Amino acid sequence: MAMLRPAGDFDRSYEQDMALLRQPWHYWLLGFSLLAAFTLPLWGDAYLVATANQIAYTIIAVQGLNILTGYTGQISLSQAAFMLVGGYAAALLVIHAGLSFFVALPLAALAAGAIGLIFGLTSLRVKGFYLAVATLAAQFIIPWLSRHTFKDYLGGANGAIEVPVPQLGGVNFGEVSNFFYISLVVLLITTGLLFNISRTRLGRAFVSIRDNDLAAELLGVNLFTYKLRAFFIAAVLAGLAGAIKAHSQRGVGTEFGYSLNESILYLGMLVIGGLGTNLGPFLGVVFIILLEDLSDLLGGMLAAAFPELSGQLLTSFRPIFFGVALMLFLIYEPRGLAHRWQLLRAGWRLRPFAR
Amino acid sequence: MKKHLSITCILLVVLLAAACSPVPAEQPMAAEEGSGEAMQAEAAVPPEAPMEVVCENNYEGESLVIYQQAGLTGPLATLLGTGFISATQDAIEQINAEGGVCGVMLSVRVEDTQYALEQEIQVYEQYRTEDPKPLFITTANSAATIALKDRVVEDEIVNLATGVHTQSLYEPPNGYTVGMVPIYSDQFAGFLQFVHSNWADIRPEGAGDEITVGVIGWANAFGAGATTTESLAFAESLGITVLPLEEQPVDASADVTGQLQNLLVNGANVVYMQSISFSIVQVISTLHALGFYDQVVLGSVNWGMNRDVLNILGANAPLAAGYYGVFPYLWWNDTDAPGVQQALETFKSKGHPDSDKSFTYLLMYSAMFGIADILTVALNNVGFDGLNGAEFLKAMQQMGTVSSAGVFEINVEGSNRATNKAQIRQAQIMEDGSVDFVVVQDFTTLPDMRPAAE
Repeated sequence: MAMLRPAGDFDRSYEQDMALLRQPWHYWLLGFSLLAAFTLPLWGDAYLVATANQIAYTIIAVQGLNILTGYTGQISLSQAAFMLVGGYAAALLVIHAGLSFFVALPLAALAAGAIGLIFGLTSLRVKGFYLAVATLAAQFIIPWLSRHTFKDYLGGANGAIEVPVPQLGGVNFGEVSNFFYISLVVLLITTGLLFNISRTRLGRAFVSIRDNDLAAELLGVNLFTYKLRAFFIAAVLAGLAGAIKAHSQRGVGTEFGYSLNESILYLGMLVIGGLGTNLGPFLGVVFIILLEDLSDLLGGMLAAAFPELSGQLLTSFRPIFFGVALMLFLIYEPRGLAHRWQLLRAGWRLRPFAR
Repeated sequence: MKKHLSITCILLVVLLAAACSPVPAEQPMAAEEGSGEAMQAEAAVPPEAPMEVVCENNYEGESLVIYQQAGLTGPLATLLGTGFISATQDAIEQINAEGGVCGVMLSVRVEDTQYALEQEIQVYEQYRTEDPKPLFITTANSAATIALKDRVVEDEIVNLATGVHTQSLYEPPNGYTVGMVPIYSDQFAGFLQFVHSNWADIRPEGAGDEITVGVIGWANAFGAGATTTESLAFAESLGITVLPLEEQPVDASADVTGQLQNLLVNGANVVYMQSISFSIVQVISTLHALGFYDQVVLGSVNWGMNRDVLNILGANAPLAAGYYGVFPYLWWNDTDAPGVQQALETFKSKGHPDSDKSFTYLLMYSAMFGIADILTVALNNVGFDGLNGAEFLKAMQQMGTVSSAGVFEINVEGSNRATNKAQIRQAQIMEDGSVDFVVVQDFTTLPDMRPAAE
């Protein structure tokens, strides 16, 4: 959606046009958000910090999916599998090659990117639902290989569980309150990069492929290489997220949350947050993870209020509430939370003529 | 065209690399010398009556939280979730009504994990930062037990686990994870020993002398828990062939026809199920549908022999008749045991439906009385202010074998982290037409499948 601006509000220079932060309150909001995030372990309890950590690395994975699906229009159901690759690569590099986690992290991301390229090859021949089904292959093949091959290294069904705690200059990242900073810093870096990718030639090529690949090709966009680049970036980000997740959980394997369910959930997060928007992954991930927690909380409160139904409420409330909430959301806001946010901002900017 | 050719070549190379990578078949290791001695099951005493533990001091006014993490929602909730809540609450109410543990009042906190590892870890992270730190937690997820095994050692929090993978309890030894039932490899070896000793009597019609076991298990750490290097070596020492593990999706609507056909076509005359609940029903139903139910000896890990299997089958419960299960605790039909009587009485007084008479309720209810005994010993040792996870474990080790109301035992003698005795029971049709689990081999000491200490 084009950004609606009041009459008379226009840019006078290229720098102004390219600025990400345009209003004073943008700086305030960014500063306040960063302050809140960096001081979270000081004022938040362990569960909140652990949830924030989970949110941070999940956003990185969904950002990758956003490049592939949101910007380039290539549906993928294998983001969790690429995270598994990243997780294993980082764990093996740390355990067997003796590398520091901070060196292993980018290497793991590249390893996942390389695997992503292989599976991205199919995108040349098929698209849409056919591509989604083709990417399913990765989601089945990669976890299967991890369970059944190289068991001495990959740990078979149990996974690799002796993933060491990252250390840096005497700081031990074993505590989630410390580890959270790794996730946060990586998230800030990926966010900065992705905000810019979407505004470069690369980003515009992705969007042109999504909107009309035939027209894009006629305009000189090499579909094959650009689609592969999208797959590569998506898998690199999945690899980063997987490496962080593996070290955060101190283990990696198919049971650590890299299944098809996760891949579908990430896609759901993106759709709910807003496909093809930079804000979408943030809003979608936070919304879904907090909705899960909220449904737990409400279920517990109802169970306490109706003790005779507590068993049923505790077991059934969460999936029902979660399902209904998502369904209602998709009916009333199918373009995602980012779109709602843009409408709110436009409404505020154009007040009192917003309606 | 050139591009397509190169893509095809790359794909072929990848597939070839995957195909050529070493896929270790579940080949048994060479038998260890002397392992043949374990061929005869050694009789063991049933769970002992709880030891008399007397409080030396009273700590009235103090309270203690029992931390549990369980799947209260999700596909296994009705099997493992509600029982957790009601059993623990019923037992704690009773303990508190009788004055608590040396005056200390107990309360319970349960957090939902949906049996998803990510959430299990997150809930644990939350628990470990509580003030005061938990002495112990209870978990019910093999993968979680494995993932948490190092953390609980670092934090000195005892994990009373029902997910009893060898790796979580014994690698490395002397950890803080304690199993409430024998490790899965011990159970599998115990079942093999039973089959081997009784083959002449239980073998299906037309089966030869050779025993070929097909294992079908969940596609996760629990499913792979039975077929360890040690248990496969033990099978070989008995002359039993174990086929490669067939994986079964953890899905109430999964189809296991292909997996069972693989096992049958490879000569399996024994099928061992390393799964629970609906997955057991899937195997039973599919074997019936294929017409092979009578042509194999069917057995399961202890968690596979439970009321919920009969509940799911409903009117078709008699279809389950004949399958065996490793059974390391007493059951609801052991009405002469005081611990079971007590559980039955409470169960009835609370108005729980008969269909909820699962192992979850019986074990969690009984476990609370065992925990109360451990706490009493720990309180006698160090007082309320000195209580911590290390002292809790020390108290368990001091007791050696903790009897949980005489229903089951937790063995923490020395480096032991789980009991190693069990019955073998069989689902049989009773006189009134119902199906129940009947003892066919009393408590024996299971073969020791712990990994050799390095």
